[in-house]
Amino acid sequence: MDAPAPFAIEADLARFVEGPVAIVVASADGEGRPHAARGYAARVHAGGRRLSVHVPEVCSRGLCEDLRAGSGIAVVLSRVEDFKTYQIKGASAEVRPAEPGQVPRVEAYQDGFCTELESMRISREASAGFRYRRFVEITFAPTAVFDQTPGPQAGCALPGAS
Amino acid sequence: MNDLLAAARASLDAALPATLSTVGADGMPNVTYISKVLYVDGQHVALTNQFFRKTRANLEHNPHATVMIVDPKDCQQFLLTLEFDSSLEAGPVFEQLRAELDAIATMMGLSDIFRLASAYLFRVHACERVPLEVAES
Repeated sequence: MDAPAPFAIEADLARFVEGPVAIVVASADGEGRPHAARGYAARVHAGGRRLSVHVPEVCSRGLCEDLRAGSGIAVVLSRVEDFKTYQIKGASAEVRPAEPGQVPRVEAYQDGFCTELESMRISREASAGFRYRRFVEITFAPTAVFDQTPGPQAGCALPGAS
Repeated sequence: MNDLLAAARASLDAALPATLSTVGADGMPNVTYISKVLYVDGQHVALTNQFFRKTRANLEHNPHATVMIVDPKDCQQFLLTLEFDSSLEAGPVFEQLRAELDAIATMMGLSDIFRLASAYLFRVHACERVPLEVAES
């Protein structure tokens, strides 16, 4: 199979990705079973051709095992206020311990996301259940982006940039 | 598993939008948001099929799926390991799911967008709580 063409994430989408959006990361094992974990503090690298996202160590074992074994990756990101949603896919991903230098970003993301949840009447006390301290960092080259905002266009691929 | 699924039932009733993960014939994972996960019995849940083009195609090849739900009361997350059973276009499960989706759509101001095409019935193989990590100050 030919390697999929790389996808460059443009500035507007990068701002969305790096905002206080709900994130879920998924993989597949060798028998076609999916694993999923909540993602934190996604970051688009310079040039838009690589994306990193953090997942909590304590609840991402299956996901990380799949990715280390070569699974493809799917990351869905959804904005609480208007349900704007994108899914970003990659053919493979690197998994490594989170860099200490990323801790402030992850903390800021958790604060921002919990603030967003307050608009859904989820208190700070309740959203503490989403907060973690120990993370794994997953990095991949996006190969496709899909608009998954509720509506008839859901599932449509964004035109790729080469 | 039944005890934990029963515990998760309260979360299903009040849950935030859930995410459904499936895997394509090419081995690629796919994630989609779903508005409602309905507890059917101790072995089954039903999901709203609203915009499921890719998900439907994946499930035709591979029945394995995972759904992640969140209880807004305390943000406890549950992961359900599922196997696709059947698609329902009528009957009590379909009608209940349609009524619940209509209520959600009204609340979200999306009544002209949310339409229940069918209810997807899944067998539940496992239900687990996502571990919490108590933040140290």
